[in-house]
Amino acid sequence: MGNVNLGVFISGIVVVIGIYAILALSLNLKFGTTGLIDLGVVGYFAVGAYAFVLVTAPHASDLNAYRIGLDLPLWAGFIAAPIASGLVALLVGLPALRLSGEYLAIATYAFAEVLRAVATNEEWLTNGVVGFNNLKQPFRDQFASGGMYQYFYMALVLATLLLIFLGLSRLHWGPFGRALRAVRENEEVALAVGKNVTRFRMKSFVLGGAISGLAACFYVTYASLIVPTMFVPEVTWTVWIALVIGGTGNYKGAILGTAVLVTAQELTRFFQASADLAPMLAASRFIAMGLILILIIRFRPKGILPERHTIDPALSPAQASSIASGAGSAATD
Amino acid sequence: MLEVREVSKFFGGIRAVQGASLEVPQNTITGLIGPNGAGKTTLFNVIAGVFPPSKGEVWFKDEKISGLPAWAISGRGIARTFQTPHGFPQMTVMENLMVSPLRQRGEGIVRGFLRGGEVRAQESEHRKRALELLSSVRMIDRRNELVVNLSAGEARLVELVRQLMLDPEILLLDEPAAGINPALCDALLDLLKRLQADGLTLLVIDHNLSFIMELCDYIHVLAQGHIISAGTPAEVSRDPKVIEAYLGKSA
Repeated sequence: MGNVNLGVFISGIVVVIGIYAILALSLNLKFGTTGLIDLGVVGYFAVGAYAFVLVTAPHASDLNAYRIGLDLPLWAGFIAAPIASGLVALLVGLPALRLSGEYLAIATYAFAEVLRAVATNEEWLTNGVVGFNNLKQPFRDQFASGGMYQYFYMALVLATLLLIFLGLSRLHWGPFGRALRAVRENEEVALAVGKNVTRFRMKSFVLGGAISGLAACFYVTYASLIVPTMFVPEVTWTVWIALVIGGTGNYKGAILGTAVLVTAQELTRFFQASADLAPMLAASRFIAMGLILILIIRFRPKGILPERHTIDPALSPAQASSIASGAGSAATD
Repeated sequence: MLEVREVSKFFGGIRAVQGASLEVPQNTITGLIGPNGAGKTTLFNVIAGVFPPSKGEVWFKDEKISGLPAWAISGRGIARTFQTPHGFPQMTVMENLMVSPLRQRGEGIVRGFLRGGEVRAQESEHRKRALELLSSVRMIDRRNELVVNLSAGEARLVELVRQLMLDPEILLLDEPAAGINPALCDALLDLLKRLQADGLTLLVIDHNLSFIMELCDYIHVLAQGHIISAGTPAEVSRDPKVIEAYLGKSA
């Protein structure tokens, strides 16, 4: 493998890590921060992907099975996708967020499966199993060589990942994230401190859904292709395993866990063997995933980077004495 | 101030509370006592909106609150503590207190993200109050500890000050003295009296009769879902029906 190819190969892995890491951040908002067991990760992802494609696809001709194609520029797709995913999350959340724990898990999983069936069968909307290919890629015509574009694309994904990471971290450590964590920790007590638990859950759910929709834009433009088989439950499991490995409740952990998991999976490509052993080696991808998960759960159950907590700073003697003098009447006002 | 009117609560065939009425006048400490299984906590949960009453109504300051969701009832200044004080276990003591105040400006997505001056000012105000409350129960040095790691007594104190962070008008306490050592029990008594002196109204459930007798202005006695007696501590303790409910009928 030449240097250029190796660079392209690695940047390809980084793009995959970036896209999955955005999904892991979104799941960490929902599960890590808010405690929602959402097994429908791939569902909002699929909605965003199809929304992106339908908004940017050429107008349908009589030869096409699909009927809607708005032929808008790519940036419109990048806006429409998170909105569509967020709206679908809202619709799913309205009935499903009345459930909690494993019931929510079942409902969201079922939603994602139903959606895949819709994508496969409703040809007028999704073009069925044929899907769409040769999708336009953002800023592609600015680059003469595919290799350079590959690096640019990687930078674009990483920049988006960084922005989402910074945004969600900021929310996590502020009053909004604190309320979400309270909802996660104890619903009954959260209600007793006046928190509208359902509403907080919904906000987290919709924001998380919208973020998945944004990740989906990169997923389909990178592949330059969309077909229903891109939205199988394995996407959901990969994101969950990445989050558990990295550390639920820790946004850095979500990214790190994804990097570790995807890298381990990709390294299995380098195993070389005779043709009759190849199917076994293909399975090594899943063995790698399972092995890492088992090792983490056994030796580091809170993940590589466990959740952290706000540490209230030490008090200066002056502050301490002013608090002590206020404390007498603290219970008062 | 708080009025329970003919409230009944049935769970299937079980009649946990049957036609209970009681009133908590403003700025008093009112006690609710009764043997195990009398329906005290059920009545508490009805008042706090954990579930609606099967029959009857609860009124707070000229407004019917029964039927409102629990968060809206807490939002009206009715704070309740829990019998087993779990709090928010995987959050620090300080986080437990800081999350509690009502109407926090930074609790929306946009303002929680931007955290402008208004939000920061409110946060620092809440922090000051939290530190004062923790100091008043001598727990200021424990503020960065996770609640799950606290002793039972400490958890109960955090439960109390966490609800005080709501700046409530009435505080409902479910067995505040349970599991607290006798020395701390006196401190608790002082603290609750001081809260009353500062204008708070309290409704207290407890098993510890001497604690309740010492603390309360009025006492209601609940047995098998019915209010069987009400009055000042002295009146109630002389009432033969109460003695019978607690000790059984004399032969």
